[in-house]
Amino acid sequence: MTSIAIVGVGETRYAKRLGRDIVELALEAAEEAARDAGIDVREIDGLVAPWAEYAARHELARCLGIDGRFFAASSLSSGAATVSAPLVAEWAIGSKLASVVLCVQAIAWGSERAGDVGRPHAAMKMKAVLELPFGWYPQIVQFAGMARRHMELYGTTEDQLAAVALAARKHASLCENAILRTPLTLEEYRSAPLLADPFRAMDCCLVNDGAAAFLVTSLERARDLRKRPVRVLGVGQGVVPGGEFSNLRPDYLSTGAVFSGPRALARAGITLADVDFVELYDNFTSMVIEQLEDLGFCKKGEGGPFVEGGRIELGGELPVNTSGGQLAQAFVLSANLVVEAVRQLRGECGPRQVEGAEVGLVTGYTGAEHATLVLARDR
Amino acid sequence: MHLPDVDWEVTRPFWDGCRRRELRVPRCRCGTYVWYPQPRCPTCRGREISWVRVSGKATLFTWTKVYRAFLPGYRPPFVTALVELVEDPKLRLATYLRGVEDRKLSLGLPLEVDFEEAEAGIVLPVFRPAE
Repeated sequence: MTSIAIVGVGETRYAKRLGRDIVELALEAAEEAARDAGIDVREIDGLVAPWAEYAARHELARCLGIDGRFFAASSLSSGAATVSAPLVAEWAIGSKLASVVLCVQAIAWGSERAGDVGRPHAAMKMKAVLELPFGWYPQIVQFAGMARRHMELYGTTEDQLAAVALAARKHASLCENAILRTPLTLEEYRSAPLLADPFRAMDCCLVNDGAAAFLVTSLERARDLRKRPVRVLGVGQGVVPGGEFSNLRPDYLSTGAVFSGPRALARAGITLADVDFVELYDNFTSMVIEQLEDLGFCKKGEGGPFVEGGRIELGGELPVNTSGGQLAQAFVLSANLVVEAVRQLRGECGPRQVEGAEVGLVTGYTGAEHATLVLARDR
Repeated sequence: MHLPDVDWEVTRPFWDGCRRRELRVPRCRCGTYVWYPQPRCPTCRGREISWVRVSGKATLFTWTKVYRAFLPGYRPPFVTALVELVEDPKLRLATYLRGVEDRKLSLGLPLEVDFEEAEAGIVLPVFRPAE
């Protein structure tokens, strides 16, 4: 178990386009997180901001007034970085480099990247030479290939993918700050056009603008603050062989969750049976199914049946992505998933509250990397 | 469509081979296929890696039929796939599948290489059902 806690969370409004700079978005989420915690922004003395390039990161620090004394770093990349940020914060706090650490992600891909999905991948020369010329691009195509093999090997069905999408939309309909708030029916899902078989638009995460942030401090300090602290029980990281080239992975259908999950649980000193809800990195519906398997909620290949029958919906055995996740709430590289988990553990989620939520598990993914975070209500 | 930089030295033997209607992959002196190309053999750490011709026979590893042009120049629908060369399961190539009816698509389908000229001097390896 760690001796740190999340004490404040903040989000901007999420929308397809907000027309605002990422620094401005990050600043707003950070200020909201500080307000939520009852901490003066000027007390923030550490920053984990994997979202931005050097210049934007330092611009945020300057705007917050923490330039000159801050510990800035990231661990892993994109979604995996967000979810392992508390680990970096723990190092900073434990070694007295910082006492209140801000973790933030900001995205303006809705404004910036219309028609330009997957640009970072296209920039990799090996992919540009050996994958793009064959239409094996962008991510929707590559993940569709994984979903297809999962279906062929294990009998996973389109309706099981749909179950993930339907759960996300049902939960988003109960979340004020979600982009897709209309519930989805199975008929609507089935009749939507295929983009890259087996994926339709509702199998894919959103592309939007917005920022989410959370503040980490020592458990000791956390207990004197405004809100009930949410303990960071454990963080795990995992990297799969094959690196960034997903199609070369020996274990093609496994994410780094096979490593990060057990590590996080071991550190937390709990088992999956103790977990009341999960917030999983859902770039595509099939990735929810794969991670449920990789984390051990079911055996490999049994993720399809696992998501059926409302089991992953609110009120079910294991509610998944209670705010609608990145399929329906907003895509903020897992930062919105961490914020949602914290709110669930504080009992602040109103109509979408998981009853008696004591322990939540959050994941972040990017290419070869994966991170799992286990959070719990402070007793 | 997106054409490869066939002059990039790391993969040039691959594309030179395609121009001659031959499928070539890198193999270390120790016998390990090194795919994608990298400067050291993952098995013996050796650097004596050379490009060898392979049979062009493969099996279907996975695929997706693409209905949307995500980038300019692609003409959907098309079936893009990963195939596993018979020489070694580590030799997994992204490619186009040609001449397979949708209902005949299945894992392990035997395939063989064919070559299509995309533009003068640029020849793409694609895969068709094995005769």
